[in-house]
Amino acid sequence: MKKRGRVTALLLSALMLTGLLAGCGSNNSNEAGSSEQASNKAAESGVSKSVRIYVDGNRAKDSNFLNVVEAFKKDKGIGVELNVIPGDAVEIFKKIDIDLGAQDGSTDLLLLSTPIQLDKYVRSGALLPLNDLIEEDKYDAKAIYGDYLQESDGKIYSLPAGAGKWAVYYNKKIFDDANVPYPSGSWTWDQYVETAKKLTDSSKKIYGSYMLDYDAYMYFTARQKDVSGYKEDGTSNFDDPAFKEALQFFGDLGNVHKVQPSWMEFKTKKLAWDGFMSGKYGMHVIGTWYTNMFLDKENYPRDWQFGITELPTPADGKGNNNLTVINGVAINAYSKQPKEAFEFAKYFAENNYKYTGDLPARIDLTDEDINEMFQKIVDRIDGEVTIEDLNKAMYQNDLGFSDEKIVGPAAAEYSNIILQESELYLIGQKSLDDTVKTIKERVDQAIKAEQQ
Amino acid sequence: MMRSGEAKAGVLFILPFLAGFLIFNLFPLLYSFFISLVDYNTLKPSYNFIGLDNFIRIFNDDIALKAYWNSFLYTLIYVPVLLVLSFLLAVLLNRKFFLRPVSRTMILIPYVANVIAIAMVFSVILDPYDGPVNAFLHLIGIQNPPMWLGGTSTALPTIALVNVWQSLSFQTIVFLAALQGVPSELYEAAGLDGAGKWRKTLNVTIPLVSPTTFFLAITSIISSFQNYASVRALTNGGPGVASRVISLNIYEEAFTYNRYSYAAAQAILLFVVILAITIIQWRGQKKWVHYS
Repeated sequence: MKKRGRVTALLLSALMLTGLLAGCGSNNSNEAGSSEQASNKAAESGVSKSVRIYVDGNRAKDSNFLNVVEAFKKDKGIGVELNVIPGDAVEIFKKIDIDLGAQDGSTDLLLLSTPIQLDKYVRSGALLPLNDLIEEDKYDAKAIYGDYLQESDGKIYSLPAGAGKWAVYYNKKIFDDANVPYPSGSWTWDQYVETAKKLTDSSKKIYGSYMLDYDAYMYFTARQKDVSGYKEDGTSNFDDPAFKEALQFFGDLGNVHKVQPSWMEFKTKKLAWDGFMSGKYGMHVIGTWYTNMFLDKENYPRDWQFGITELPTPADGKGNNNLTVINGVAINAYSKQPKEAFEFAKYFAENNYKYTGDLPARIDLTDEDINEMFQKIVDRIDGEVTIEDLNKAMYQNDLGFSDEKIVGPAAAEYSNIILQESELYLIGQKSLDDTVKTIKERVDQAIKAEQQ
Repeated sequence: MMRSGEAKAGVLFILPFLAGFLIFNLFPLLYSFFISLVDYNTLKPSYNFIGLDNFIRIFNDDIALKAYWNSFLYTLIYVPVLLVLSFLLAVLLNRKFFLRPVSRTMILIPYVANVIAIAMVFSVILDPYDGPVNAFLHLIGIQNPPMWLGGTSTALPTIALVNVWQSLSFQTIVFLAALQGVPSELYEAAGLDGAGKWRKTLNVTIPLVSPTTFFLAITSIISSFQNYASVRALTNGGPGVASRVISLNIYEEAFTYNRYSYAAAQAILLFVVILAITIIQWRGQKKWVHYS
């Protein structure tokens, strides 16, 4: 009897352990497989020179990105090797930091998703100034990228590969079920809230609106009004009333109007960044990169159609701006083949938009180019939205632009402080005035520490 | 001749460990002590000696101080609850009951589970809106059940309890081994002297397993100060900085803000704190630890 009990115990634990291992294992092996594939592809094309680029696990599997890489290899005859770093697009920079800090030049190229990242690497001298290469190549960067080309003390450290903007994506089924007309054209945040209220149906667990936990949501309307994150004297400008209003507006959506999950709900339920795809939300205020999500029907099967419209603006008419965030491609200061790397940077910056759904950071495109770009998207999503829908929502509308990110001294810390402190206001642990005051104080301290 | 040959063999045997220890423990420790004294606080390496500036800075940094305090609170909850529960569980499992071997195996499962998986499961269980725990609390008439991981005052204790659940099995098994080492004649003698169950536990079991209790107390205090993964996965230090423990703070200083020297200084300070606590415990053991 005793012996049998022991055998049962052993079998049971063996079974559980196998289950555990199998569960953990499958994902990893998939990932390893695809990154291998990618680098094999590079090897197959039989080119002598090749450049290396840092990518995260998702990008290494992203067929849109791999298509740009393939096209580059074919057009330019230079190979591309992916240096795949495990982790998401933010986590991988911890590893990249260590490489760059150690002046490791084995990977030539970096994709920088925000100006904050660019700023950080420029300050630490990790990036190669492109001015000489541009001159040597007689590359008219200014004519192609205009103001999207970011300069720092007269030097160019990256080429802009996309200019992300914001838009409102909506779920047509939820609008139809609630008998609400689809939004179109310019509108205000008040109208947005009214619409979201009509769509919210707690009995069906449907919210009219969905937003995430990015720093930008905490100060959205302030940046629409182009209120700077810094004062003239270099200290934080977070005590400007516009920031207070912006934070209150965001908090009210979940806590007062109850048209979207409250911050507490978002955090404790660990709601996902791709939650809108679940079909439980009427509208989603998010960057235009989100269009890609609707192209991916394998990972996000839907029984509903989406629509897209332009970003609402503050009702007082003082902030008719969309927010834009420029992503870029830069070259490692210690790259051993800057010329080849520059070829890739140019190619990627010019052509990325044709493949990945990123909005181009180019000013030289004709209306035809733009139409062609949107036509490609429309073709791939079987006409769920029209070229005109996309163009009006993202590109040609009455909105101006201001920078989404607060870029300047201690920028990364600024962003984290905003998130940490705003959270206390959003869950009702701190008053609005105290929150804004603490943010300014902590950021001022961080700026001071950085200057020392 | 024979002796030196033996000595050589001995060195050879400990070499794998020694090499690992030197490369992965001692060298990083000395190196971090070194960089805590320089100004390597940017991406670009910089090694200008600045004395104790990084250490002084900690005492003007409210967030870092709060993180040390949070780690201390965490330990204060985690260690006593863990020791008491694992002792009680070990006493239970030491009795004869139906399916005892299976139960003994089953309690080991949480110990081998992945931290991220545990975090996901507990996030669902402790969801203050639709989770089963609060649904139950509502059912028995509690109006305002805790927000668990979402509340500023409950987040840290909740993480501690989740970790207790995970580590319970290991501690229980160690206690179980200790309990089985208690000679049965001592219980018999105590029984003859008229001791009941409670007396036997208090005067025989607890003193005899005290070396084990001491070992578990020291190791769990050390590991609780170093806890990072579960905090990161459950709350990432939030809400605000309510559950930001010192290891999380050190990690962010180093890898988000690239202040390597400052992070090293915080780590060295943590090392000193743990060392001090361990020495105090070591000195205090004479009072309550009985080696037979």
